[in-house]
Amino acid sequence: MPIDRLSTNALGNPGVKVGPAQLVFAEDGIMKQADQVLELSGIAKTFTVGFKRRRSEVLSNVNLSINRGEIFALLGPNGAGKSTLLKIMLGLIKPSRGSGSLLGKPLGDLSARRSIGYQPEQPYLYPTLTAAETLDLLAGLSSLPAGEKRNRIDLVIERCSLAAQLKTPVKKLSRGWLQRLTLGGALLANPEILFLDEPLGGLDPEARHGIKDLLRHLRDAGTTIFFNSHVLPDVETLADRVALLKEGRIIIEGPLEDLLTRGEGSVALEFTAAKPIAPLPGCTLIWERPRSGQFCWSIGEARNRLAPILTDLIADGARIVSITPERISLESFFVQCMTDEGGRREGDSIKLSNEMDRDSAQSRTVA
Amino acid sequence: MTAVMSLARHTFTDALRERAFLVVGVFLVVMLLASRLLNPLALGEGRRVTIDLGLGAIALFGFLLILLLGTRMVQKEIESKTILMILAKPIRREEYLAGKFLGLVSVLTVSLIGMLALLAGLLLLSGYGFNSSLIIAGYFAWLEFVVLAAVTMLLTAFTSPVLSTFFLLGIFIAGHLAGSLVEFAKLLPQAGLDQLVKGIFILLPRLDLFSYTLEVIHGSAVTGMQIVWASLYALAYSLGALMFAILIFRTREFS
Repeated sequence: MPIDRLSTNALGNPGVKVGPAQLVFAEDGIMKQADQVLELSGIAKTFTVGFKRRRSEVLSNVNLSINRGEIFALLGPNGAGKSTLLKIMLGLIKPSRGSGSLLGKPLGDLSARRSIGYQPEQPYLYPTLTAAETLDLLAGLSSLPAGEKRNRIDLVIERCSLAAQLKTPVKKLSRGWLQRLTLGGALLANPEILFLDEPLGGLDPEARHGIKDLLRHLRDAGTTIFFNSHVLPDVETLADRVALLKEGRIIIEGPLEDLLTRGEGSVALEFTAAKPIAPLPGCTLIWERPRSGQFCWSIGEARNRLAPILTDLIADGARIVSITPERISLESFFVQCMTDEGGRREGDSIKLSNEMDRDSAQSRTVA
Repeated sequence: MTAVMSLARHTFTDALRERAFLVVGVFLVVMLLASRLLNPLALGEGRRVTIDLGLGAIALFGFLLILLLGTRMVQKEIESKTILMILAKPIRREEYLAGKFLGLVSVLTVSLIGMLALLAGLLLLSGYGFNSSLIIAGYFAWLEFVVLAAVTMLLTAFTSPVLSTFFLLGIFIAGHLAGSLVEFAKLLPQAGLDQLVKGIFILLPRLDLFSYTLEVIHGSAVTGMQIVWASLYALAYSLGALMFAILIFRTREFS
């Protein structure tokens, strides 16, 4: 029985827990990860532009895989090729080179498209139709069984809080309502994977909060979410994994937490001491509460310095409360990557994963 | 099939909201004015003038509707990128074109019925009477609309709306003269040229096959074979044009 990812049960009590990657033997005998919903291999796209039909490479050797049940964010400056890559994933345009699969089927396959939802950046809807008619049209295009269509529409109306706007023509809806309507349209087919192009753009804080909550609930219910966004603080609070696309190449990809904490390898050290202790070499004071004897230092290059500092502090009678890796903001990370990456060669992208040796990853860091 | 019908239904609703059916209102005004102005000058041929003018106006307004709605229908969705949202759904490109085509044909059908009803009403009010040949002429006009709608789909699959408009206008005029093209080819002195003209004749839609104004005016019988032949021709030509449109549309990329 299919799982309804939008139903109250799925939202309230996430019944579907996504386990770790499982390895299975495919028909060809090659071991593959069972829970990859999208895989791109060596994708390149070249357009011919202008009267002289000049060739312009928009994407170059893009390799990407997305796991089931994760929220994956694709970041990159304007013109990096994000939208083109998204269109290739959706099968709207064909890659010039490379191949890929979506839900185990070739890109663009009709049966795979039955299990996906797509929310475009701009609300590309018929302006004269009402919100209710738009949902009816999109449900009609989603190959929903006749008996299920009405139920799905009602559920989407409830989840996206569209009830008040059903009779309003699309051309009279505000940007926020249009975003909700297009998201509702994407959710109609109870998708296994959602593709969202700037899902939070142009929304007020309350609406953004609501949509982020909905996306998290969908993720908890087993829906995979792929989105691109320029709103980096939102990406930081939403994404499990990110990839950075620059000039058509993925320059870095990995779990968000790993990317933001690896930086210079600094940690925040919180401790208590009976008397104030001046920061040791290599340490900077973050905050102190001398009355209660609480202190917090930042230790750069903690890999080499942490052990001797701890020894010295404990010798001085300090009690260690916590050691936390210091995070940089995604915005700082993004800017660093965009400015520092220039000198690297094509195809020399960095991929971080939990299994990967952190030492080797850090030795190649661009941040 | 659900997706095709859904697209067709909403294409119809969209056209309705875009006031496409104003053409029927304009038709009414034109017919009322024309009958008022021309009938006193018709020297007892008022019925003939009204039918001639009415069927001519139906052909013209139907063509204008195709020109205004049809040539922009697909291109508008490509420009506004609505097509991205639709084609990301589990719908084949041929289903998309079929939905748009059926939507356009349904708009034309409703407009045609409206215009025919107005013409019939005008004939009755003027005391000229009304016979079934008008319905047959309406059916032939509908076949012509279907063929032109299919040609429009083919044109919009690979050209801009402006070029589509020019091409369609040329095809409309040449299609009505298609029957004369073979005779014209015989008069050509160079052997190669007549083959070229014959080639064009084969490619052009034979819109002259759908003109039955004279038969309606004179009350001449239209044979069953004529109706069957015209219907089969319209079906074959429309399917052929749509097939080519699909082949071209499949290769298009929407960036």
